[in-house]
Amino acid sequence: MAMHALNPRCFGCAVCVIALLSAAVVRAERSRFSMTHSRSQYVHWVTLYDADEKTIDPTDPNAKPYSPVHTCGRCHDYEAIGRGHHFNAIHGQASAGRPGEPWIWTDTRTGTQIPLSYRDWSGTYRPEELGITAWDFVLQFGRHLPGGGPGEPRAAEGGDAGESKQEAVGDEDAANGEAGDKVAEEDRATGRWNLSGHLAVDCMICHTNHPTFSQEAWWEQIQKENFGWASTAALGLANIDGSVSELPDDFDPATVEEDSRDQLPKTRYAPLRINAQKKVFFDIVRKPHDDACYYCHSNRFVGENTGEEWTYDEDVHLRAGISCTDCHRNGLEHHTVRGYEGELHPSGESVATLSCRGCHMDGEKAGGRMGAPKPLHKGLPPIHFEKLSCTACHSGPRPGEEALPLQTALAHGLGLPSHHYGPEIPPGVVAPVFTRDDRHVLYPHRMVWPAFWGSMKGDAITPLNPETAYGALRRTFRVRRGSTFTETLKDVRLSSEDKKSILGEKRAKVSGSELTEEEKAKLTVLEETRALEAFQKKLVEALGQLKEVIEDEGAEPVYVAGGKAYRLNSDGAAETFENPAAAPYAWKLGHDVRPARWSIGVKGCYECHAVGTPLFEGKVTALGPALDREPVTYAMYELAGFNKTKVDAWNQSFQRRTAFKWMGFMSMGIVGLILFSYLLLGVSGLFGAFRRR
Amino acid sequence: MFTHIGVLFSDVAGHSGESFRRNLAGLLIAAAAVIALHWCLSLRGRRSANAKARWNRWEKLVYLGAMVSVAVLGFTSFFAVLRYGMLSGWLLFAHMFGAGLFVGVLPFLSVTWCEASRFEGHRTAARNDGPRRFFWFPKLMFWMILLGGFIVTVTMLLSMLPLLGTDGLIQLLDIHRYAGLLVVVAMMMHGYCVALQRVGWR
Repeated sequence: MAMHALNPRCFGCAVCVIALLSAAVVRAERSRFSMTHSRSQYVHWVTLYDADEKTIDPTDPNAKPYSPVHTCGRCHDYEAIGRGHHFNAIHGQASAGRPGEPWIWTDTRTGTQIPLSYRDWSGTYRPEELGITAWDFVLQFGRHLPGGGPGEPRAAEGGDAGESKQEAVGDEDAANGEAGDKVAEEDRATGRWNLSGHLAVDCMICHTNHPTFSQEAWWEQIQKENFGWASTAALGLANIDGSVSELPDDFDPATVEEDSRDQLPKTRYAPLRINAQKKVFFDIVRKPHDDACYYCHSNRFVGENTGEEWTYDEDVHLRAGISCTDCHRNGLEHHTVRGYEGELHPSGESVATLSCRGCHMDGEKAGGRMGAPKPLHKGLPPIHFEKLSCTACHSGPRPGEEALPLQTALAHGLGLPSHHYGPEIPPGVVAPVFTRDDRHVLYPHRMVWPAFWGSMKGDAITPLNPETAYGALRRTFRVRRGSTFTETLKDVRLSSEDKKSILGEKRAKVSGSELTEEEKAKLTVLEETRALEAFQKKLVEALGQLKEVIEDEGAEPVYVAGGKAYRLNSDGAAETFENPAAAPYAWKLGHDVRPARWSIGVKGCYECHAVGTPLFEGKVTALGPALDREPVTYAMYELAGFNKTKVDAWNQSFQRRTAFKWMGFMSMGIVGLILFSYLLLGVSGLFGAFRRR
Repeated sequence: MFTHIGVLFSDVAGHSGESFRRNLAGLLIAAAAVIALHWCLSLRGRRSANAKARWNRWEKLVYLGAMVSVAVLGFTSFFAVLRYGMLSGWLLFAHMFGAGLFVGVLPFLSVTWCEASRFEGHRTAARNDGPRRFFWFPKLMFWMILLGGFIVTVTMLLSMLPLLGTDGLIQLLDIHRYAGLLVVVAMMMHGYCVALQRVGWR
């Protein structure tokens, strides 16, 4: 059979076509996302796109809210950004990293404060374990969520709250026998996503340079279940009328009557923000301002032993002109560097020089980044660098007699205006607490004690869903709107008999303002006693109520709070017991860094190595919503796992350190003189020997 | 070596090191081996006919104090370094007490034994007033103990003052380690030589 040779012309055409196609593919890949690769800012006059990827005419009265996914995502890889550190906790693939601040689910009606995290940090609970769906999570914490994560529940993701909740619900249903109600609730929540829209990653939360970006507006829309509208409102692009929260679960815009569609929120764009081409100017900065970070990462100390807020200084790095993002930086994938030692960056890049030690000292790479000075640490034995973290001496408040109560933006909603930022608002968080990690390095931490109603089987305690607990206990505690669990417990009225027993018959009839301070103090003590008695009584009642809710065979109801666990004993009274579930959760703090002259130990060894110093002997008292006459109190050395005898022996030995130095130098003076004189004798002897020869 | 260690902060975790840790065991074993070998050889040697120099109580006390302090210091530090890679905790505590004893004893040791340990090329009749205390080797070891002890103490005293930064302190620590090792080895040798002389083998 004759073989026909390939026609050279055909071959050449084929090669050209392949080359053109390849170039087209390459060009298409290059051009998918716009880049300037310049350090200068790009001016963003952008066309708005909605969640359906349709162009928005801002002048249209029925315009939809803009979608960051399709507006920003036209030029920037939204998928990649959405896997960044601030958004990826719910994604099963994200590395947990070093334990950080949890989301603390606080319910003031039931005395609940549960540390939650999607990142599997030991001591926290995954929201879905408690039956908290992504929907619930967004409604609770959306004020400080940047969007993405639980705001965009994706069925395909392994960590998706919705799907895993279905599984969890299934298991829980089998245990609790409330299949119908729970699934219906989940369906309700899932269905409402179709009305509310997703809470997409809002790039402008961090990258806006415009002073009108409002977190308050963001939260307002989330509270109204207007998730899809939050970005538009926060940026001040439009006014939003209407609220998804007022719509019934079965509301379907496609099937309702036309006039009912008006019930959906309306977006009225501000004409002054739109140019003639119906584009909107997005005032954007590549590096977020510190204010953007501060919104979520602020804290304040509260209570009697703290000074006014204006007396506190900012982090010394910020004072020096370094911004948050100079150290906590990232590329387009938004894997923000956290800056702790040993951090493994998902990109594979070394970020060692962005930790304290890596920047200020010479480690695997030369330090001195951004002109960071190298501390000499004169006279500080190098063993301190093995035993202590940099933050132990340089960050957070100096250790005092007692760890101070603290409020954080994530836990207490700082950054939003409120009339209720008093020191008593839960959850109770304290700092600094010095404990050691698994490498026995001492770090300062913030600490919170979980409080929740749960069930215990064997030794394992599982929290109940907070709403389930509320439903079972609302009649027991009767916490009024505007009040809290603790305030309600403390709200006791002394009977006239009680007053007579303390003040006497005559003084008991006197009005409160006429009582002496001593009498008032006596009454206060009695009130506290009565409140404790009332709490014990209500606790017994509440635990009894929970028995009806918990249907797990062999499980008993418990309450965990303030480092203790409570249960009913065989006599039906409430008793406390120890359980790991009551243990506090602590996370390392990195800021605010104090100036060098304010570091611990700058005055000398005795700042730490003396009897009774706060670093070892400072007290840490558990804070919780339960009333407790004897709250759990630790000494720092206990939490750090130090041997008390060793600590005392070591600190006492420092009393003789100065004397030892004097004695040492005098002794060495004598030895030195003897060495020198015999050296001279030896040398003269040698010369003599040479002369004799 | 010092510069390399100075810039590698990870070495601080072992208080510099793997080089000291590696050398320590070898040197100690070598010193012990030399002593053992010499002892074996001495078994076959002739006994010395020289009269033994008698020690008074004070000399014994001082010598004992020096031996004990060096033993404590050596054991606490070397055991900790070999076992844990660093000296801390109770061992460091004991090391500190040993240091206090050593610092107190060393001047007395130097004053008490310096004359007897002096090298003399020519003995005059006036000086020939009794049996020699030590032959040349323990004399050498004595001066090494003194010199090493001086260095080991001064390095630690200097590190207690706010004079040097971390790099300098690490270098002082290196010097302290090796000077300490010298003292321990020299003390082992000196003690062995004294024992030889006491039993008349030298």
